[in-house]
Amino acid sequence: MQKRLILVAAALGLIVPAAGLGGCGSSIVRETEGQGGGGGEGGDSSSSTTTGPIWDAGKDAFDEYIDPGCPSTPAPIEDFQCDPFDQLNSGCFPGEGCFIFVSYPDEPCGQEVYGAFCAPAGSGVQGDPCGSNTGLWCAAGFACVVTGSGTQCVKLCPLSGNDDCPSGLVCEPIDVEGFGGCL
Amino acid sequence: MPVKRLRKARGGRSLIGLSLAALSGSLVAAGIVASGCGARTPLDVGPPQPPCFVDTDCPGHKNLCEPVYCDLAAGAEAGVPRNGGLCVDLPPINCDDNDPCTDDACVPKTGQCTYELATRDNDGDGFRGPRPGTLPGDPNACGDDCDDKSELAYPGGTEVCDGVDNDCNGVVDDGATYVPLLNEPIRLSGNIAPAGPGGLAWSGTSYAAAYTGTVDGFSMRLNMLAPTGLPLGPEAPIVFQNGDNAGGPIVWVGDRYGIAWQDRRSGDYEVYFTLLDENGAKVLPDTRLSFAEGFSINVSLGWTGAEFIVAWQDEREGLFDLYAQRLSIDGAPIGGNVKLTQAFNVGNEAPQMAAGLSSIGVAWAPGDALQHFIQFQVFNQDLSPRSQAVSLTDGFSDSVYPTVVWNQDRYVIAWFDKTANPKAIYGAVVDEDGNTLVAPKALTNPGSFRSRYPSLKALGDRVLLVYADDRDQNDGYELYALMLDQELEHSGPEQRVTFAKSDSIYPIATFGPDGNVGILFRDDREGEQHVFFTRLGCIVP
Repeated sequence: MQKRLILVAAALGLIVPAAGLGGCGSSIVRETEGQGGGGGEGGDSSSSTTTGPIWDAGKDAFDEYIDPGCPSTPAPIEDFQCDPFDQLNSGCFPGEGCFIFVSYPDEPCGQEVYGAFCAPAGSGVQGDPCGSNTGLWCAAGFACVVTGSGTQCVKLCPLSGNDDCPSGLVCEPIDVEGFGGCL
Repeated sequence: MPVKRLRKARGGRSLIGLSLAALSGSLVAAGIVASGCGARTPLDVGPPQPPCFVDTDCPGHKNLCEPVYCDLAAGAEAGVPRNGGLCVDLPPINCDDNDPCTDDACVPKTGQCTYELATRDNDGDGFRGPRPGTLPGDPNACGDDCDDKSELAYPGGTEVCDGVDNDCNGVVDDGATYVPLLNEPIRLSGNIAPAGPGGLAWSGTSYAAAYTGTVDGFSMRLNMLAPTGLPLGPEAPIVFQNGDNAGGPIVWVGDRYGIAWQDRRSGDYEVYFTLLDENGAKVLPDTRLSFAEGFSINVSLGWTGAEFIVAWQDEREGLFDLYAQRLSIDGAPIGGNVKLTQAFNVGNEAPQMAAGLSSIGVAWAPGDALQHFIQFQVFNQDLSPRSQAVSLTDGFSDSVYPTVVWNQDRYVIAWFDKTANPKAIYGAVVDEDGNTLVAPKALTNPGSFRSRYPSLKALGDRVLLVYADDRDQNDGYELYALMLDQELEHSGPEQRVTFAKSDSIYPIATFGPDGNVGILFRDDREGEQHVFFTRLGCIVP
């Protein structure tokens, strides 16, 4: 299964998981410390429902479940205050970088917000550790992502065309739409 | 409440508790009364209990499995007021027929015993699978089907080249090799780039391909495929909620698919599971398996022959640790989340698992951004530890993303190393008790280049390895296939599977019809990341 990178909110505590779309390289961006999304649900891990339909064996014994889904699905809100792919002309002050972020709805069928913002740049480059628990943050042009092999800085890359990743690395989708990270 | 004479220990405990409660209440009351008036020991231990006159006056009378009756004679003997009786418990109905092949139960409404067969014939071939933890055909196994996921495998069957152990001799497609069919790979993902594979399973009539694309965030899709890989219909969403959802390890268990994924519908990544019928239709509401704060991601799914097991990495305690959840064949969680590992300084990530005869083998990667290990541990199928964790690497190189399969009587684990010499696929073999049978070794030889993303298929006496390698410098990685023997030595020539420029990566191989091995993979040949399907064919020696 391809990994997906999950963003970890970077310079301002935002961690973006970099979960790839298939296999093992996706990244996920993580948001922490008041930088937008995040905030899981507390609760009892053992409180999962213990009931469910009981079926007899046999391939024709199932009734299709009609998923109600979300009656009206709002598109994510884009909030780009700078251009993460053009750090030199991103519009950020000297010493800052343009970092991607994502903010997730707390409720099902809510609206996701993602984009980019200016923040003080860290020093982490490809493969360096990062995250709020390390106090280390990524340099401009990188994102702090959960990779399945440590939370680390990955170079931002375009998801189509030449990804410009270092030799041997591939561009994995990050859960901030339109952005990939080299892994 | 009628007076009740209890004979059972459980009832006895209840009665003692009731008496203590009443006594406690009396003491409190006495204390209040006693203040200023001198303490006195209360004589009564509670209000007088009403007598019973008929059996239905007695608590629990509706449960005929634990019968109770109103004993008027005992009441008279005890001086129960108004000629009432005492409730008397009779011995509970014992339905145990000493037959290990039946699940014995008493129906409370009728008091009648039921004796359900303890094993199932999921694939409908007339042969039942064994009880969990037993070998097919063992005296107490109550079933002799070596593969209850496939109606083509059963004792006495004739071995043909079809990816299953038809004759139940422990070996799949005895002696056969697999070669690329050289058909042009079929693109499955629609206009949802970037997309990547999540899981592939064969039901006996069609493939179910699960993958994740991008439509306002990560969004999983299901595509049912004909034996040739051609889609039987349009790709369809699996999840109908907002928020990123990704994953899709999918397994066929003989009459249904189980599928698991990570999902951010509630503001945080959590693990979900559902069931699909043979045609890919959802037959169970999305079942959330994790509830704790923090990410729950990188989902792995297995089938023990009786239960689904889902494993994932979870940071509910700060660092990532591995958790797992058992589910019944009907998708009902059994117990709660079970913590499999304990992180020390670094997290435990990227779990992959496989079900053995009576165990679960879990491979994962402890470490952080700077240092990675590959570890493996065997658990019982109730998720209790069966062996100590085995370290397969020393942390001096960048070993990541393990995978594992059960191969007749042992686990085969493979991973790739980004910094070792060579930067190859590595593998090891461990038995069900955690003993290393084949020490870690390089399985591929990429020269000065790299091999990545191993996918294993077990054949009993050998293992098929499909992986990506960039030695040809064809603008990225290409897919290769390689047969390995029990010692993880090459037992056939390496086969190149893909040839187009740009990356062909993340193969997921599964046995299909007519000896084909279906391969789901990501391919960037069109300038975007899409999911493709191709096949290997079986050659009988």
